[in-house]
Amino acid sequence: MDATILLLLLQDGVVNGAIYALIALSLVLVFTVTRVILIPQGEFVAYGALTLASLEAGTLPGTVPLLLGLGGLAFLADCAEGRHTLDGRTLLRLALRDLALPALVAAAAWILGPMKPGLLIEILVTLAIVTPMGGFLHAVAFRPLAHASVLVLLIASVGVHLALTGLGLVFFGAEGSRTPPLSEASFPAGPLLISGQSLWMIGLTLAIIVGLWLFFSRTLLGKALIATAVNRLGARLMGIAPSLAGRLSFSVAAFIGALSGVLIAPLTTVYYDTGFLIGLKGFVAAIIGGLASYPAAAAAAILVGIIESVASFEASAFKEVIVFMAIIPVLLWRSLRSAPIEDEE
Amino acid sequence: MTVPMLEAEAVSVAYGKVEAVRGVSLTVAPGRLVTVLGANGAGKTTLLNALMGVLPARGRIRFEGADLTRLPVEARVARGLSLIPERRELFSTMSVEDNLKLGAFRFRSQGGGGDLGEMYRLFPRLAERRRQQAGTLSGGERQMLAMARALMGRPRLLMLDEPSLGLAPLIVAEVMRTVARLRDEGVAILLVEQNARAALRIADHGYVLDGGRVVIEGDSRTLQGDARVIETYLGTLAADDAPPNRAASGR
Amino acid sequence: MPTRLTPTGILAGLTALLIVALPFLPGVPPFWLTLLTYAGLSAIVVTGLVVLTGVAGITSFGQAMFVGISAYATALLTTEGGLSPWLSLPVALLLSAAAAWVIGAITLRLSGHYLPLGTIAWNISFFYILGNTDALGRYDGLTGLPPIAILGHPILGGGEALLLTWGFLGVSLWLTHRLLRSRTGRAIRALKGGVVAAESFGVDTARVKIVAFVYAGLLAALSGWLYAHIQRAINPTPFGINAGIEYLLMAVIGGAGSIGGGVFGAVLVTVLKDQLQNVLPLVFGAQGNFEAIVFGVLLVLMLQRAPDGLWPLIVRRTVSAPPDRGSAAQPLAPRPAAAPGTVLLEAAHLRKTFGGLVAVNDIGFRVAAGEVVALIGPNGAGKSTTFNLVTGVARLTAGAVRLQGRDVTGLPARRIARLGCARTFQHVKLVAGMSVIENVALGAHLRGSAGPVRGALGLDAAEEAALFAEADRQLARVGLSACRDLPAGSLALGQQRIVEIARALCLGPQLLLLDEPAAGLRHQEKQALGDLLRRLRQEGLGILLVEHDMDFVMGLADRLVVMNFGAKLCEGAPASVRRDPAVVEAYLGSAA
Repeated sequence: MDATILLLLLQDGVVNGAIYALIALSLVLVFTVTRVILIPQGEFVAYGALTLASLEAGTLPGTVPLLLGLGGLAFLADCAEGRHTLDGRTLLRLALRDLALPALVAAAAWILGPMKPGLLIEILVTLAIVTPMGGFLHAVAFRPLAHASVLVLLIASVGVHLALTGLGLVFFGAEGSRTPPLSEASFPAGPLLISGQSLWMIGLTLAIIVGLWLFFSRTLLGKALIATAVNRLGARLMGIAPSLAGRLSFSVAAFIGALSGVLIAPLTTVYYDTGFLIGLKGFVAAIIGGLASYPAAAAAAILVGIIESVASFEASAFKEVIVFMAIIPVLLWRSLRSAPIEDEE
Repeated sequence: MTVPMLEAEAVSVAYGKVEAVRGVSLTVAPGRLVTVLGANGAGKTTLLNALMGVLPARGRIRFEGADLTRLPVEARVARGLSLIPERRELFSTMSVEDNLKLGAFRFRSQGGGGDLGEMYRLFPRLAERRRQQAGTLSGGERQMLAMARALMGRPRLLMLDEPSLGLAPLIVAEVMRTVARLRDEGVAILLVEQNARAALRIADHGYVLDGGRVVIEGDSRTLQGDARVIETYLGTLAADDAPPNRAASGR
Repeated sequence: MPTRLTPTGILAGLTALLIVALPFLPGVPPFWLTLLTYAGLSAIVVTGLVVLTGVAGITSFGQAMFVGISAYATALLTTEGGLSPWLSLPVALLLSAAAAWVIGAITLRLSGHYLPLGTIAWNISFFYILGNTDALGRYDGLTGLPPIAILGHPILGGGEALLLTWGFLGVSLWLTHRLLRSRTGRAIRALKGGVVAAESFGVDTARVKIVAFVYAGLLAALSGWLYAHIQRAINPTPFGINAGIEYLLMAVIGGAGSIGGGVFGAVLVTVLKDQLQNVLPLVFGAQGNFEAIVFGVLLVLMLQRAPDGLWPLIVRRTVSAPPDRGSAAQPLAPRPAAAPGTVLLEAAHLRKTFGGLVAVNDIGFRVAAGEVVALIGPNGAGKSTTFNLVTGVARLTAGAVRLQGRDVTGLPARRIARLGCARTFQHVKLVAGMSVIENVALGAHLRGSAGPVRGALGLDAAEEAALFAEADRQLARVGLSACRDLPAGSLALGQQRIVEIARALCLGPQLLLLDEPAAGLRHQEKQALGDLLRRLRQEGLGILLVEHDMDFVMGLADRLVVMNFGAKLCEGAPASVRRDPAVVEAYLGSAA
């Protein structure tokens, strides 16, 4: 391996790592706020990529009926949850959020889809389709389990993953898809040729990170999310409902997932089940970061990206093995540091 | 007797098969300071948690005429109930100022929450430490922050669970003065305390819990002289043997 | 052992009968025999998961890997090595067990969610290793495995494979049943009652977790060996992460809390999956992985509506019947009491800080044989922290603890238990679903020695009888014999506290540490407790109790140590302490 190849691999690694970083950040967010280890995060990625591909092809993506269905279920779940405080105004608000909003998005997709309105509009429609699914899923699958243990939530999370992957196959078929890049441009930088696409990816990742930072440090809603993560009871006593925090964090996760999907779709062929592995690599990063720290998770994600790209060059058949085994030393280290006896109460 | 603000009727709370609170009824009138006393394990904290909705309860809880019994915590907060729990439950990794801002969360869309400047005037120590993480505060400062954070939500009824816990006597006196002043400003208060003397000195009315039931009820002056209150804390032996005037004097 | 007719037992018998009869019944399609064979193979793995996840509370998504290790090992040994399957079985088992031990040693000390996530990572890696290794046939796998032969007769599928599989399943269930009710099994089950409680009775919880993990790995390996030789060709797919997830799904849907639930879940999911694969494409009019959707939704609904699985809804959950009382066995020989007046416990200059907060400041006291010392003080005075420092649950910032003159500062709780020091807990830590007598018998953990192998094979009968005779004796001593076979969680809180005392006595302690034993007790129960403690004092035990109930303490303790704000307020006989104005003030609040 000479220096040029190494640079090339590093570039590749950083670009891939940027995606893992986005996913790791959303996993940390969801875990700290809701204690859910969001295995289906990968499905949001696949849905994002495939929905965009489907819009590109001028067809109505299968995620649209899913969005409508999930919205309907969420509406029922919300009504059941709030049955003791339900009045006309609340009902109207729920109906707007769970029924009217998805209908609006569906209408937009239905009208705009065949018109082939261009990549930017299609991306926006894609994000509008996938993002609300996060909140709906939280309301339907996870809110009723709010008091369950982390392990029960994890198993439920796997259940949601199974269902969403199966649905992905139904909607998008077993064929993979690829979308055109966001930019065809490329810029020479020394021995490297930096593509416009990778600049987009790194730029958007940075933008998201800055956006998240502003959200958490400047807005009361963002602070409410952190507060829920820091002290759930304390947050409830301030009137911050865990369901609000949960819905919000899930929606952020779905948005980031869909955006990641949109970003990788031009680089690699995405299949209905591709998301799982991508999501798990985000996990590897999040675990290395301890599932608690955003900067540590982001840094670990870049590292995972680089390990992966070097591994795929040196031993391509074992690249997945090498990436997933990277957590062993981390687990070992944590295991040696952790207190031996502790009751989880 | 004015119309009660908070009215609990035969409230019971069970942990599995164990009943920690058994059929407790109490009322808090607007602008009054009511204290709930009792020994360890008498069910005081459980009662407050049930009133706040942190724990599910049987019986009936009404607040300003509306039935709260099945409402979640957040809905009770929205109606103006507030609880400062025994463990304070601060956001320890966030700044003092962020803690205070979150106290007004229930007003986020319509405005009208407490005023930061007002809180800093009320608790000057917090102003000095506004950028500091809440977790780094001393015990007394934490209690101040917990109270200020609750006041940011402009509660109509404030419930405090053992505000004196773990605080040095001087600070206890300060906390109690603040509680009394809040009452004078019109906030109804339900105070759970094990520091019986301090609580009875500022309270208008009191209840004594034992084994999850109300065993004594009366205005605070009467309770201050009631030998049975002493008994709850020191046991019958002590009450019999200790010089009664000394143990019972409230001064 | 006397056998009793329990609903579960009857059901097990009927199932066995049905399975044995099935191959001989006319008109049973061979397809169903094969399907049930697969169900049996899964059930063996899931039985391991019941021990691991349902009983020990350790979630693994990676059991398919242990199945695969064994399957590939036996495939190589029998094709390349030319061994008979019967000879390769022990090797395959050993290899899986070794893998489980290594993985367990690395991750089992981690709390919560790291282990399940780790198992996912491992299982995925394992799949790609299989698929990319030439010697393992890459994604095509290995073929040409010999069938298992019994007395020279090869088992080639159909009814014979069904009987073989379910035969092995039966053996697995029997071993598991034995294991769970043995000394090691009680230790595994005690993990649910909290690690601290188990450690306080000398259980090495880290080791117990590894035992559960290795046991689950062994059952998975057995299933893999059977699978390889029934299928006679293997490839990576059945050992991937999806299979691992499916095993857990079976356990959760059936009910991971009981052996029956595991088997039920395995059969249900296997059959359901097959049926859904046939039916759903017709319903949806398209090809797809519909059963995954159904299972995913089912899993979430199960967790929301019936978190304990379907089995408890079918068979009312019964506590596993402990051995009968009144067996001829002698209780364990009582340990000699220390000579009266011997200093058993000496705490000197104890100090504990949490961050900047001083919770316990320079506390010192002694407890001698034949005396009751009470540690009292108002809420937040630092009593419980002091107690945890003495018992090795919390780490001292400074100071020293000596037990019978021996320095135990910094020793973990289970080492302190070995020195004849037993305790109870302020927040009762019993295993709610386990019978009272088994909870009490856990106290005698250190007085037995049978390991998992002796337990599973039933070679521990004499020792078990002695342990239970001792447990019965202590339960009778505290007057709760009537509750012997009830689940501990069904008792009133006061009774549960007394059960904890019986459990502590089972350790054969010289020093008894009681954390608020009278809290939640009714008046008469308090009196009975007081009488019991007086008797124990007479027998030469040293007793330290943390109490808030002054009444109870005054009539019982020889000496009181009063704490406030983490420091010692005063020490002395009850009569002098209760007249101390500082104490009155500490309890009633300052009069200033």
